[in-house]
Amino acid sequence: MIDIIIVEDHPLVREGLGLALATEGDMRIVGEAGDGKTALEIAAQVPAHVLLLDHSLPGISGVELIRQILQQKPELAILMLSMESNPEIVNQMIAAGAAGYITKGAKLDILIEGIRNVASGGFFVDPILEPHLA
Amino acid sequence: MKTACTETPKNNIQRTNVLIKQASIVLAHSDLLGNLLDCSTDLPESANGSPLIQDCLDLPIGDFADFLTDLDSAGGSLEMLVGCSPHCEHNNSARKVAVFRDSSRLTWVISPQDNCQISRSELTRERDKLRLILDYAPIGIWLQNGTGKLEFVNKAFCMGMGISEEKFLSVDHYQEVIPEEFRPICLASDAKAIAADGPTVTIQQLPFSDGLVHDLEVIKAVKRNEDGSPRSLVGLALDITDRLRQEAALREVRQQLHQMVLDEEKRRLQERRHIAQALHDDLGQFLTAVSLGLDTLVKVHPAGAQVSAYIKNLSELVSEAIQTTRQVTASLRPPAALEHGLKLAIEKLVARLRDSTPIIITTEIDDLSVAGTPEYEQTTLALYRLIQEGLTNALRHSAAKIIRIRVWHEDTMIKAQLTDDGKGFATKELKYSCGLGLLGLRERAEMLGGSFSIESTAGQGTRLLLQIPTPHPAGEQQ
Repeated sequence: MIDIIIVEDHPLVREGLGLALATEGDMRIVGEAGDGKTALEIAAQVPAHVLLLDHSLPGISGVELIRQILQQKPELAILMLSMESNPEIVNQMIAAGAAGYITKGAKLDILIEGIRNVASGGFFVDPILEPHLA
Repeated sequence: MKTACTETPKNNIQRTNVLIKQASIVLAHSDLLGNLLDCSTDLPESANGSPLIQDCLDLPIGDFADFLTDLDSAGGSLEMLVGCSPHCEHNNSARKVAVFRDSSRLTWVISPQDNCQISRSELTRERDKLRLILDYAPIGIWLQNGTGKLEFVNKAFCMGMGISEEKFLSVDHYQEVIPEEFRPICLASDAKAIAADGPTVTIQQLPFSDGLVHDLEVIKAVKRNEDGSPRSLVGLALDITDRLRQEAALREVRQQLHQMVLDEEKRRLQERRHIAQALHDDLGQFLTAVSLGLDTLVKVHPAGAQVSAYIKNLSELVSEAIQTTRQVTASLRPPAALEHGLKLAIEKLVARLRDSTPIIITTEIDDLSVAGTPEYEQTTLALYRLIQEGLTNALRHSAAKIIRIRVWHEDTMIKAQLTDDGKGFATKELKYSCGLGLLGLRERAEMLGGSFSIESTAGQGTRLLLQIPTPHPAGEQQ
């Protein structure tokens, strides 16, 4: 079973993710957060394998949030899920320690594949981003 | 041997005639009616064949009887200065005529023409004319000798300064009538003129009779003695107070216009940011939720093949909508110019374009040391857009093999130059053909207080040069 924390400030997207991932037999939502500060608290308190993280959040977000989460939970696989497709930003997130990056709008199958991949210690990048990455 | 004195009246007359001729004096007699009796020289026939002496000698005598009365009133002798006869070879000169009366006739003595007197007269007339012109020329004019004493000053300058000509000319050095605080600049200006080989121009200020200090453009030229020492100095002072005031007003208007352009750019930038934010935070998220929902729906509630295919199609459409939203959002965001400076922004722009064109693009971009202020960022953004437009034009129209971009800082201007080795064009055709974008660049550069120029010749490439004033932080004087 893959335990997942969803960090997403938009409630509708957070709810949609929860419902979509819950349909997978090997995945379980163990925590949700709508901002960076809550994300840090939940990541510290709730054991999980994967943290789905939006790029833009109220308060702390982005590279700094990734570093702080990994500082307290280095084993947690952070999979970015973002509207942002700027290669420069994608590279910054990966350099900060994200295990993968998927753009919003990617098919659900891609997201599920990405979660399984990073949960097993792999690295995953949305196929539409691959040509632009360093 | 002693020579006997043989003087006779006849001899006396002959000798007198010789002396008269040698002295170039004309001696003539007339009767009391004015008829010419005799003359020491041959006179040309009067124009109308008149025997009257005034006609023969071209004398300004009207009625002879009146003249005779005047002559008697004057005691029997008169002197006149008269013009020469039109027949005379010394036409336009004048002669002195003396008339003496005795009981039966008049003796006329016409002196040789007095060229010196005429020259002095003409000189006086010419001097008066010149003086009139100099006095009322709309410019201050003066002449000073080698020691600073004024020898001439025109009325315009006297009136402007509110100092009489007499006062100017009465002092040993003109500075005595100039207010003390303005003397050093006047003397420095003199020294500059004396040290120079030719005329010098200085801008200086003097207090005028209207109570205001006027700005003057002063031209000085020095006439020298053989040993090089100054003999005299001519000064011309043009009042440029109004011109400078108008130029200052124009500069202020331009500055305001420049600021308006920057403000508009800032407003546009904020608007684009807001739209991008709204697209990203709202529309993008809604579409993401819909996409997830549709995909989940297909998985959780397997429907008939037709419905499933329909939902999948909807999901594809939503995915495309998300991609479009992402692209629009990215295009609305400010270029990297605002975040990392113009150099990086242009290099990134060029890097992107290199992937889509075989044309070689080179860059040589200075680090602009004034970065950091909001004004700089706005100008940089405007400059970036100008370069982007110029580059796009070159890529589309030039058919060049290589495009070179250079950006540098020179004096108070940031300059950007784009050159290509393409087909070029006749610049005079620019406004009628494909040059709307380039003309827009010119308009934009001028609005920012800068300039834009195009040099191009058919077959020999094109050079675009943009110049925009270096922005100054708000409140700092330019």
